[in-house]
Amino acid sequence: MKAIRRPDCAVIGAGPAGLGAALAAGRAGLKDVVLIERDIELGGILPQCIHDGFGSIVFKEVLTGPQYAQRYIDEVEKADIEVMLNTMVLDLAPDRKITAVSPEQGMVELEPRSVILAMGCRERSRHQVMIPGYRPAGVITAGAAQRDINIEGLMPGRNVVILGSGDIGLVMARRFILEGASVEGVYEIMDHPGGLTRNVVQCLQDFDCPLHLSHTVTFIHGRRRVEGVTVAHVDEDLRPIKESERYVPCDTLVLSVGLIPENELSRKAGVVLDPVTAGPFVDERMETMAEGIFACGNVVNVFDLVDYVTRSAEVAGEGAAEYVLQGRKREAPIRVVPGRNVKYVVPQFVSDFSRDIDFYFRVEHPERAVTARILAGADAVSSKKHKMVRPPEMLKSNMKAAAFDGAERAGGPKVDRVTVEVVSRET
Amino acid sequence: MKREHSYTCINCPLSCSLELVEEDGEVVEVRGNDCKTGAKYAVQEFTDPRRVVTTTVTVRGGALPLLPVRSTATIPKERVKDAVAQLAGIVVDAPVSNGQLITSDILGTGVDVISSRDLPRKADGED
Amino acid sequence: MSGHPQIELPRTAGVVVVGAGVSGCSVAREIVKYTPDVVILEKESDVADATTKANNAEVHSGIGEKYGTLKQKLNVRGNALYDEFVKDLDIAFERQGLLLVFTPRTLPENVTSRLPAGVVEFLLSRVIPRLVMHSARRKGIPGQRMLSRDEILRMEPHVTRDAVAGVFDPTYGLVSPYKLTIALAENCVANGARVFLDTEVTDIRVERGAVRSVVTNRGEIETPLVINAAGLFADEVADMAGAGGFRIHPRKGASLLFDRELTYNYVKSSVSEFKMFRKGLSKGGGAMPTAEGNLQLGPTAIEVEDKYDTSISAEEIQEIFERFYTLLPDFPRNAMISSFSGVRAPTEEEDFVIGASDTARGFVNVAGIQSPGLASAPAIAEMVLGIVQGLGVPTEPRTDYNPRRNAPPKFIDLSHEERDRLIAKDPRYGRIICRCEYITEGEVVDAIHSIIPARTMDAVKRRTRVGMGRCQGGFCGYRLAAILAGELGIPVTEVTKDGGGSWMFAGETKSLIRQRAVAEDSEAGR
Repeated sequence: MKAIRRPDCAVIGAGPAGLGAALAAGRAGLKDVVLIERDIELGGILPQCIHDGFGSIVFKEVLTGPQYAQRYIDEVEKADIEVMLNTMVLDLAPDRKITAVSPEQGMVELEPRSVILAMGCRERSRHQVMIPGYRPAGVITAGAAQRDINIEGLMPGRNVVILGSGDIGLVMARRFILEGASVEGVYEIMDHPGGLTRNVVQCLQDFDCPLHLSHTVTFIHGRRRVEGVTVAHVDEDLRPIKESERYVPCDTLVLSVGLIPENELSRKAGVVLDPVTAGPFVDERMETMAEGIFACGNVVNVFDLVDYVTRSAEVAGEGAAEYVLQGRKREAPIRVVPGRNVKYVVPQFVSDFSRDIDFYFRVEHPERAVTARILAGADAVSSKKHKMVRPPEMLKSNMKAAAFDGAERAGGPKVDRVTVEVVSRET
Repeated sequence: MKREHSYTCINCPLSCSLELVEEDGEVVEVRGNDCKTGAKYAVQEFTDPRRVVTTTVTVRGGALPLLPVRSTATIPKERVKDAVAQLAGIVVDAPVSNGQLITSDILGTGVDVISSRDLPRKADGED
Repeated sequence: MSGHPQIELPRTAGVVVVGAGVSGCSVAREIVKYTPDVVILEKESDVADATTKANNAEVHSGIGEKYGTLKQKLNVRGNALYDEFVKDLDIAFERQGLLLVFTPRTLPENVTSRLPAGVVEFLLSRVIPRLVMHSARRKGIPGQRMLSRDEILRMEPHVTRDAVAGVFDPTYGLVSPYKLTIALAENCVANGARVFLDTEVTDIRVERGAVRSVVTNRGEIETPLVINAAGLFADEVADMAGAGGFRIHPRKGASLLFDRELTYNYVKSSVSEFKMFRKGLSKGGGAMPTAEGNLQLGPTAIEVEDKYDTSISAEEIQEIFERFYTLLPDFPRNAMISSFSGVRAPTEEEDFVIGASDTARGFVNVAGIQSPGLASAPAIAEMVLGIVQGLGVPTEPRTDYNPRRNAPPKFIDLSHEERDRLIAKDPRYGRIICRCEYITEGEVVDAIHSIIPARTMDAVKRRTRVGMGRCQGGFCGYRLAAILAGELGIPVTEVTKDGGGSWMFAGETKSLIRQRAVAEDSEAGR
């Protein structure tokens, strides 16, 4: 019988979230931390994000994805963290027992005292957005195309149409063009781009690549290989307008139509998921509702700044250490609710207000001249002005330690919820 | 002769639509900006638009077939495509260390191109 | 390696089967029990690669077929033979049963709106179910029973609350059509038959009223006996021999697949809303658990011109949602992960055409095999065996025939100890390639080198399920292509999704820039 490992902490996933969490857990006092990664190397999605724009908050430098990852990989190699590469977790039980497999070790079993979920997310597929037509070769998600071009050394196609103007789609437009392919255009179903303006300018405008807003792909042509797509204008209800249909010849359709936190293992462990974020409910320590199971990074909700992923990972790593070393028990948690023009907030619960807490949230619709506020009951305990807020750009607000208690002490009724809201400054 | 140029500001989520008016190459005015940074951005984009170059180069004997590289500073925007094409012809030998110089003074811009990561040699016994 | 396209065609064969779908392979296996001298020709790059692969997996009972037709008789007979048919093939076959539900929509609106509610209730709860059961008994289908509304809802809690009554048909079952076909073909080859992929029949030579040879794009095979199981092209093949007289008119059908985790056990049997005077020529499909446990809805039935039209339109997807929304009001629409579609090969008469030709001795048609072709397969094989035994195939069974075919090991179904043993033998069984379905590199390599080798992404997918999970190939795509390239000894740019021109990669990353630079140089006249 093979020995069962019993580390203090098992971190599942070694992207920026897992790397940050493992290091933080070690710094916070955990001696035996295991980092489990199914890929051939550390870094998660970062090694394939070869463009820059990472780290302006954490390192005050503008780094490429691989450079950002290398910082953490270097630290992990110096720290006393056991790394298991090529190791796929097959099962996570509610009692935290992990079953995994790798070519080198065969079947591996662990009974960690704490678990940190850092599995990231996967991409939405063509079928989930229900694009009609044939099912030929040549329909690929933007992240998979990015892996092909930047890591595997393969070009998915020569004449590309991109559906979806999120950052991955925009970045891949530039990548395809620079590597000698042609991109006929980027089609976006909404009436505004899904990604950062910086990317619209530097990935599309710089290359005269057209962006067609309020458009979608209504049919994929080609039996064996993509031969073209039909695109159409959409109405206010996002329904295609048949008369506007236009045929675009191409051999590749790249889809950038959304990311889904990858919570299959979380479900197996009985971790309760928030239907709005598609990730686990977490509290201010990034602990899920399953005791001893923490979560950070994109598995909780899709972040856009890797710097925030790192921050959430550090909270989770510290939380796991605190749980293992001090047996931290949660007090009756208070619900954090999205208020006006806020689609969701993470964390969704708070048990302990004695430390600073970062709340990450997204707005429902773009709005100018607003104030983002955190309310304890009815009292604002934090307030920040923004010239402009947009759904693709995640916001962060900080609630200082004891601010909540202060609100309670102000003589009002006992506070039973925290609200994050965005209010207009325009009268 | 007065001419107008349009830019979208990238500095904050407002994404102001900027109009820059120039006469014979001299900037006359900038409109549409909500703040001073936006005005500066428009001027920069007109007089000297520059970009960071990121791409990959081929690797021999490495754990992966490609190495991500980046320019150490921005280069003129209109030279980016040529820079990438030139880098496409470069082959480096593994192992490569993070920050290793790949090409100096790319296209005579005075800007170097360095490796974005460590890349070890391919492990023995792999195909 | 029989399926390898580079292997030369034999010059003669005792029997040539045209088409390696479920019909062709069922018939071939039956014949192989009597003689090994059987050659199967398939124009696609894998067996079960045309109509069969898109089949709904339903092993019907026969309840929905018109009484007296050949397809009805063969369906009932085939269904009864099914357990015996699959028992040595190591594939999953289960009789989940079919629940026919009678609701206010069972009768047309213009009928129910004119009758008092009590009469409608009586018709739906008593009369129509009894008619259905009587019809089934008449066709020789055993075991149905009537269900009350409460019994329906206990059995299938997601069924609409306005269900009035039901009939449960227990002999109905589900089997993976391509897993079955692959197993049949493998058993044929293990017993001496040969399968040739990428081999298209272009002519049949008939001399003095008897079949002489089959001409293909790769050479000619002399044979006295041809089984025409060419599906969508059965009319064209029959015409080559002058043994035609029927026309295939293609009818496509689409189905939707849902996330297994989110729809596991959503329905335990197949569920269908019974509609009298149903428009169109299909049985209306149902909501059923696939062999792997995913919820599947469909199929549609739409006449098409083009035999290759497997496209799915927005209207078809909408139609499926609407049809099943009334039967299962809370099915999770957002859990859809995939859709698939195929083209059925019915004749204009809407019945099977199975028989020896009068004008070309030795030419046997097994054509027009639309639904219930999958359920009828054992009976079709039995019937065709009888025909060919009158045309020269031995009547004494072989003593050296082995009916047993073993499926390759499936990592996820093994115990920890068994997995460790496999990995110790070959570490590739420890590397997960498909993270949604937990398929290992070892299994992929097995599929590539199996008796009917998988040479394309889809062929591997059919044997191992790689790419069939929630991410639909996003994670495994390049990994699978790299393994195929390595094992087949071809550049990865020659790997295809499903044969023909379905290339996966245009070239290596720097090659396009170089091509573009060369093109620009020559344009500039430099």
